[in-house]
Amino acid sequence: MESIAEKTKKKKINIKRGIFIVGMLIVPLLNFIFFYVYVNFDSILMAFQVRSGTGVIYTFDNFRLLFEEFGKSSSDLWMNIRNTLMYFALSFLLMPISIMVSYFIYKKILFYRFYRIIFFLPSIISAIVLTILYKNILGVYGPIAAAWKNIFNLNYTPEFFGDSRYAIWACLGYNVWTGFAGNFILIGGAMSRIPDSIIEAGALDGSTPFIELRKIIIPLIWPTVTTLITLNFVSIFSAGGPILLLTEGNYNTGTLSYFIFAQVYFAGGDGQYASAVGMFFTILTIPVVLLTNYVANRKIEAVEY
Amino acid sequence: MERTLKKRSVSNRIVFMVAFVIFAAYAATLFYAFLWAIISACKSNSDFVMHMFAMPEKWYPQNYLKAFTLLRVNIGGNQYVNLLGMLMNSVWITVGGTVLSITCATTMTYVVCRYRFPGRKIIYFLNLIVMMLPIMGSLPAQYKFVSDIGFINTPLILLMYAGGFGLNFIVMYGFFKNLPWSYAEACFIDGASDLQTFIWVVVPMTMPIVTALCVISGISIWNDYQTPMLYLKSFPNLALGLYQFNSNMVYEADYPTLFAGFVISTIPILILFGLFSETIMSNVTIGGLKG
Repeated sequence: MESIAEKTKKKKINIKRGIFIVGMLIVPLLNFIFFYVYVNFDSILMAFQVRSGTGVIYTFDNFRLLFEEFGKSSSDLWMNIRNTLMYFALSFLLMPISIMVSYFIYKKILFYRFYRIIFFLPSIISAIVLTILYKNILGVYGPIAAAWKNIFNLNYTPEFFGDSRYAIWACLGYNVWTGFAGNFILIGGAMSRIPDSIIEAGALDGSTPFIELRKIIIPLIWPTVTTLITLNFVSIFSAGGPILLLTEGNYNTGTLSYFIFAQVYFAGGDGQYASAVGMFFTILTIPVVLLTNYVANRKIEAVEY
Repeated sequence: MERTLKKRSVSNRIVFMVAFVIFAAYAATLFYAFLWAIISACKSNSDFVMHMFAMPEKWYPQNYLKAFTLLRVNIGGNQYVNLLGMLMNSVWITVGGTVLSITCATTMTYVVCRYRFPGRKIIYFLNLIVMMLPIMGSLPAQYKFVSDIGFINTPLILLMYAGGFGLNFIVMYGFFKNLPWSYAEACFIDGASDLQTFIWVVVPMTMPIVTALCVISGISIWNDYQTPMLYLKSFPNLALGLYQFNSNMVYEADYPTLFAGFVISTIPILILFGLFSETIMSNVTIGGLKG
């Protein structure tokens, strides 16, 4: 039987432990309450507000406006949605390329150490620097525009960032250029943790690079791949690139997330309509999230070893 | 058998050769862009405008030094911030933001992973929600909140980074889950408090992963132009300063100074990455390896 002294000691330890736990959690939890819970709650309220004189009134006007925009086939909203989905599709197309790049570096292709550093540069160098380099190289005085003019025998030099026919493709091209080896830290990291014995066993059985990749490596790094795919899916409507730096949304290059940013930064308004647009697309994301989780976790079984 | 092996190795070699050529071509595009920026910074402005993609008629390496005074942006009234000022702003924003975000992620995941208390499952669950459901369109509300509490244009805005959720939570949680617990238990037996154990035993063991996360978070804060653009207009960091300098060039173009600024702003990041690339590559994992 525990003595009273022991019980008091235990109680004291528990109180101290409680204080420790609270101390460790207090700052991040307060941050979460203010910057996440409060901000998102207010964002929901804002979606139903419009300014009236010095105050606000609650109404469905923002949503009415949004549905009116949906009704017009040539509205900016549809253009933003189209561009956002193009960015989303591109991020998917880049995923297998990322895996291939990681694979060849993992297999120690010639100069792999050098490539490992060089390919990571787009992820560590400021988008400001990269976009201005990219815009100048693709600009009217740059080598690409001149080559394009010659190849397609045009009587003008194409302005990739000043012409609606090209601008969105030029913006997507930026994501290809900088995202070619994207995610390779995470994918390559997962590959490097595969035990050598498994790869050696495969090699003894005579596997080619593609068989090795498809039958051994991808199943083993599957948890990392599915995590990346899931994260990609859940941010489907936030997909985009550094549009502010490339075109400021001109020449039909806007996306949904850029629209929301521009409402805060340029429009100088209260952003109530932007909040409504954000809320609408967040709700649309929920089934996508549920479905992705279901498919990633239930339907596709990773290999155990 | 031997023949098949030989044949296979030839086909393997072809596959690797094709990959090598593609890799080299891609690396060349990145190299070309940076080399172009480094060389363009050494031109006179008129030489750059006339022959954008040629070698300099005359080299002006001193442009790099001049950039420290010439590259400046207006922050309202008659006040300007030059390249050195932007560099200092980048340093305090990056160090402050990184220390706050990684410290909070570490303390939070540690207790959630290692202590049993009411609400720990809720915290874990909340992180999943934050990760899995990125809420769009909260930027206007965030801006409103930050201006209501008077954080705009003050270093207090760094408190925005003091959250523990997100990718850092996932990575740290995975780390703490696999961390041997016997050292900490030995400490408790020796009479150490929870805080002492955390500081003297747990923190040193987290150093590799914390360093990796700090470098990743540091790079992203260093390069972030949107947060200073909205909330720290009077404290432009290098990313925002270069953006503003470039935008203002509609009125007065000075490309060599801009490119010199690019190169100078990139050097600290390259050094940081060069020093810690191995630590990042071998420590940061999500989703883990099946097994």
